[in-house]
Amino acid sequence: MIIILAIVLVQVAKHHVPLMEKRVIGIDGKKTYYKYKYRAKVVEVQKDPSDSSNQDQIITVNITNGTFKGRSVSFKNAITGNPYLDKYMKKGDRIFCEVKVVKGKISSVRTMDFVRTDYLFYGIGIFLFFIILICGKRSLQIILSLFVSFCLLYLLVALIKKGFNPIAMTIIISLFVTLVTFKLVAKGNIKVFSGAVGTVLSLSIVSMVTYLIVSKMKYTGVDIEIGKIQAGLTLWQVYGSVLNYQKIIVAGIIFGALGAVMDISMVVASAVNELKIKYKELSFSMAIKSGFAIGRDVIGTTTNTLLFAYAAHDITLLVLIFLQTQALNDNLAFLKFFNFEAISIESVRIIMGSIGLLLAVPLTVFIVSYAIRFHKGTQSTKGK
Amino acid sequence: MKGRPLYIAVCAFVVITTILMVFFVNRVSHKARTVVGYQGRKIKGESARAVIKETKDYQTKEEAERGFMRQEIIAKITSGKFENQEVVIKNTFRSMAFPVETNRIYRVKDRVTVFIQYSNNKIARVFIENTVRDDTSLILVSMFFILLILIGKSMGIRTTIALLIDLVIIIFFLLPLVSKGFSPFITTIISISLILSSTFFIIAGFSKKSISAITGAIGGILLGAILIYTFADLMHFSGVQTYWSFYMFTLGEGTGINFQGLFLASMLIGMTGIAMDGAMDVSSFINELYTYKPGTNIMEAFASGTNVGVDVIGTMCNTLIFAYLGKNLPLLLLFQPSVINTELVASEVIRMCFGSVGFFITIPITSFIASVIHYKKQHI
Repeated sequence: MIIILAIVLVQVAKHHVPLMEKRVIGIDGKKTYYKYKYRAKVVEVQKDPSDSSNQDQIITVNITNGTFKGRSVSFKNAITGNPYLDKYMKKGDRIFCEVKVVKGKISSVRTMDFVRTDYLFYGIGIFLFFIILICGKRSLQIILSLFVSFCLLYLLVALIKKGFNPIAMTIIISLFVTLVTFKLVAKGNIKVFSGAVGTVLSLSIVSMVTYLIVSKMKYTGVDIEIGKIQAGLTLWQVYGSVLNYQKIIVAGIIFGALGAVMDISMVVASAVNELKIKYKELSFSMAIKSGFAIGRDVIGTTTNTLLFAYAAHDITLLVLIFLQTQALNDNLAFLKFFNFEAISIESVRIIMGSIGLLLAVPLTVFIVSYAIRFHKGTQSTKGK
Repeated sequence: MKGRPLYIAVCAFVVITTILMVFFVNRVSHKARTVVGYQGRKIKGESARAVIKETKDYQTKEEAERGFMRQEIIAKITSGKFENQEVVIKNTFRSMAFPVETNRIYRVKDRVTVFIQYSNNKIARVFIENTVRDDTSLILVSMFFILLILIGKSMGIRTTIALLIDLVIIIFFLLPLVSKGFSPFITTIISISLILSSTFFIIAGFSKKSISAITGAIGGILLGAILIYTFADLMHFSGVQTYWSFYMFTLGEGTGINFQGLFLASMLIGMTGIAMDGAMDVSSFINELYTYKPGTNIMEAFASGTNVGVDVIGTMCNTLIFAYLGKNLPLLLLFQPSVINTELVASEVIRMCFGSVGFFITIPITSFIASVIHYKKQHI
């Protein structure tokens, strides 16, 4: 059903959503012209006969939405040799093209990009489909908790843009995210409460330490590179010195670690709580001991989760460093790179996230062991 | 309590190694390529470390209005060929310009790396390159390992060893092969299998538990890989518009690196950790189940294994998604609806969705394999 829903959504987006039809009014000499963004399908691809050295393509496309629906146009698709700009077309590809309209007639057409949004919807559809397939009834809670998390993230971004302290806001938002997720996924107030407090405490400690490190290492916070968009430069051009970029980096580190920290403190809190329910005479020291034992079992694999998730993003970076080391013909050249801000930040991100994860174990164990003294073990046995 | 001296010894070892490494790193200097300069003179370069000894700030009134500041810095070189020499460096700070590394005010005791141009063993010019950061990173790494060992005890030591082995596999197997132009996909699958087996055998020992977890995780990752491959093809991901590839392309041009493959490989590696985690939870549960209730029916074991896995999904699903979102936080500040179609954003969404899908699939596969292995063992 989810897949059908996704297909319907995509079909609607394809033909009716006006977002796909962007209008720009520019002044060309004295004439005013319009630029529209239309979807089109490549019908035919030919090589440009005028230049043999270049690989320029002449493509014929069929516009599939908007006022010129059904019209075929052919134009040149320039191949410059720059991998960021080049788009090799094949027959059957679906693209966005920018159509310049003068007095109601098509004046020129330019390729913009391949259509990716449809497949993104399908991708999200497949994601939801697998959640429902595997989790059954409980999938609703998981999807709801993800949805709430995304809403809270949106709020966080809005607050940071407004100029609030990014670190404080992230910690407050992560408290809400944790409470909502735990409340939806688990039952029982004690474990929800102590898990959330453990998570937030560990994140606060990590944020303080990270902020100290970030300011000691003199990060500017804007020398970061994200793909073709140099995010730092763009940010700086948009927001100038309104935002505190160092704190945004710290906020990113905390938010990235949130999922993993939440996971581990949930496991510890619910296991200790469960023990108390099954075994009423559980004392404080016993609770701490078994809490640590459980935490230890989980640490081994959970640290991997965060490490690999981050390392995956940096694999291109690692290959880059490797190539540079080879190019310089100096075996120690890789050391040089760990002084660069953008690369140094990645290592701090990985390590501080993992330290947060480790700290969550003792903190949660102490809190939950203290908290279970006040409850008789009669509630929250539902389901088990 | 007999283990305690061992942990202290290991921690002490980590501390000593770190101190040695920090010492070593601060003594290092790098040769740079020789450049033929003015009038055919050969100018050589070296990057070394330096400490700032003295700074002198000065600015005219006009410069102050325009936010300029000039500095004359006396720095002492602390490594390499010109060790212990003092040099004078000129620095200009522009408060209106993009605040990159080199555009800042230096203070006494700041540690920096400097690029020294020299000819005939005489310093010609000196530039400041960077702030010294690598030793702090090293100290952080050792802090992480010490915490891991103190909190995790024997499991902490085993995890440390497993992590080091993973690092060795990535640095000495994956990276050299990929940078020589081997297929990133196949290389990654092989290294992921190696990483999975070494980690599980070290953490859980050579047992039915780890074998079923390994096969389950590999199964999940492969299925996720198929999905990612199909979608990367449909969505025309070139792989050159993602993290770091901006710099990569110029360096890797002659080496025949397959950028799309590298990019897809990175997605698979991201999935590895979480799939490992889920597979471990499920397979150790089924192991326990058969220890306490040896006669369990195969379907029953499969059902309760999946059930345990679903418990895990609830919180773990967030791990991957939040890790990626946290990393992209600066990007989120720049987000507009029109950028969804760009390769960078689309690939991040696909990474999150299919990374999680690979993890979801791991759970029933592991549960099934674990139940079959345990069941067969008892009935044959």
